[in-house]
Amino acid sequence: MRKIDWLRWLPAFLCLLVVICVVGITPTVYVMIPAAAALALSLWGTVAANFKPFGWSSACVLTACALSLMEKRPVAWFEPALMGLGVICFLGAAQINSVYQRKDVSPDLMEGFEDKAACLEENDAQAEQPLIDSAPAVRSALAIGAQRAVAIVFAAMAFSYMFFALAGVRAKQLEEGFFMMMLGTTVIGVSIYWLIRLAAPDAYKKPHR
Amino acid sequence: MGSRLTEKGYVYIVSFGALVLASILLDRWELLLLASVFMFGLFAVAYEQDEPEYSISVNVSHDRCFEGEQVLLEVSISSGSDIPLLEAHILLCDEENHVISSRQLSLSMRAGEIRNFTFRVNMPARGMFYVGDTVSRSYTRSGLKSFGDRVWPGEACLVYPRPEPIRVDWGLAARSRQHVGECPSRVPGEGLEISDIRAAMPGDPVKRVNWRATLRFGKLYVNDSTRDRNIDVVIVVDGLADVGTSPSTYLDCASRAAASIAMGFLENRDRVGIVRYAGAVDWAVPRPGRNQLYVILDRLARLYAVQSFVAPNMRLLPRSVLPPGSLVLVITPLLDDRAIDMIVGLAARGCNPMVLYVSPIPFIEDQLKDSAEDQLAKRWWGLDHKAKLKKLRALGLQVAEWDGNGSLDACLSHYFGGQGFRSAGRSPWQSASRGGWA
Repeated sequence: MRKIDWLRWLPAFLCLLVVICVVGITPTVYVMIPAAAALALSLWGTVAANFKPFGWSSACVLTACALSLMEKRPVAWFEPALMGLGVICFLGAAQINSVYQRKDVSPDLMEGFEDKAACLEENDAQAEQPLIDSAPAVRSALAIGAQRAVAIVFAAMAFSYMFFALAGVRAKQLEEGFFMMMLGTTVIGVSIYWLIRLAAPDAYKKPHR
Repeated sequence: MGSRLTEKGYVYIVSFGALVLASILLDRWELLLLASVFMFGLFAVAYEQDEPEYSISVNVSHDRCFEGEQVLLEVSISSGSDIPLLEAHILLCDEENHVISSRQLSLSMRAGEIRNFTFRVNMPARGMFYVGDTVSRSYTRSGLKSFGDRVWPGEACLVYPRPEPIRVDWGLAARSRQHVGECPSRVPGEGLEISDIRAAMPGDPVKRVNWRATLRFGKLYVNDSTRDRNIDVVIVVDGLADVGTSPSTYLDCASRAAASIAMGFLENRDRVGIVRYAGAVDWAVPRPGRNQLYVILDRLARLYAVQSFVAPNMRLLPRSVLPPGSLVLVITPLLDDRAIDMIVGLAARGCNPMVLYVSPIPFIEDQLKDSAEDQLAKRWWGLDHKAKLKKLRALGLQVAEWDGNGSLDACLSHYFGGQGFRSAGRSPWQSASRGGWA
């Protein structure tokens, strides 16, 4: 198995996508500066295979997103949730990338093979490329990222929709406002509970609890 | 094993906190909506699964080998539950648990899955190594929490210094012993070395008749020979100080030289012992045979420099360790004056030691700069060592100079060999012992 080189550029690519979306919506200097910084930091993190630059990069991306949301423009109800989804996907890929790209120490002293026959056979084709264990990166990336990301974004969208719905009612009387707040809190709480249960199926794998 | 938040988890918390704070201060509820994504992500942590069940087993093909050889390391990882991401570091550590090499495995495994990996480990230098120590860490599905680090012990592997075959006709000053060996003694008897031709006496075996002399003089003449006997050899390795970087330190080269010399004598059925002169004196009593070679290699593999201000007392060595009349060969870099005192003490004891001086300067040559100070220090160091060698030679000791890289065989033949091997000037042999023929 060979290492997939393009996988290491996935976080930077996701960062680029978010940045293009944000800058495309609000092409102002205040948004473009943190967006450019985020892109540079994500490239640095990719080259250095270190999670810390990715962390700072996510801070810059969030700053750009926040500044974009604060611009005087109509904001769609799903927009903040999608921005957040982009950032958490970027962070998830960056974490997996930094784990997979950890540096070996003097790898020439320990040549690794997943196939023992290839290890014993000097002239085997695999012996010339004795790299192992990188193909599961995509599998683990999907296993880790997909379910959680979908569940989280649904929860965030529901929350956003509820907020915008409440704002649309424009309840001016105190009683109506209090009623809407109670209703909204109940709906949001139930949504969070079920969405988290959905997002965490491992919780059902505890028969004794 | 306890769980802890990953760096990603901390990024989530900080992002959520910063966005909530900004939304309150700026009175912008859009930021709270953006923060809600991270809030829901953090809620998921509370519902994460327990630490996944898995085990790692390690099997090493050999528990001892020679330096430069390879051993096979088999690592088997079996999972009892789904593991979204497992990070394992397979380590090769030295005796002091310094990591010499490490390979990383990053796996995603399903319940009941078994993955086997094989590593071909090159043993870089002599010494005790721990092969296959594994440190593992598993991540939850969200990647916000990790469990670890669990340590799975590997196996120990003792790496012997690699002896080179040497063929030296030693101009021996040692006293021969009672047992049959390859060294001619001064006593006439059964042996391969012809010492004289004499007239035949009644009882002389026919196989000893010298037919050429018999035909020439018309009388029966027979060959006389000297007995072939063995000798006692004691190798003293000075481990008071060490220079260089592994696997080419002074002690590495001294160990290879000692192993080569020991193997050469043991093949001749001589008795060979070893004394480690480092910190406290440690020894192996001279004995013959293949087992003794491995006893010596074992001690040489565990030879390390011991920093101590106490001068080890060679007078405390038992008589059986340094038998009278034995051939004593001291391998030393002369970095510590206590080594000179030890050599002088051995001479005073009547051992007549031969000294194999391993120059420490080539071991640090690559660390020296071209600056005038470094070159001056190197020159001063060289002159200091020359003075020490001159002092030893003035005491009547035989001293051989070796740089650790050249041919040991050529060096020993030049300095300690019989008449046919020696030369007065600087011969190609000596040049070879200094690293090249030119």
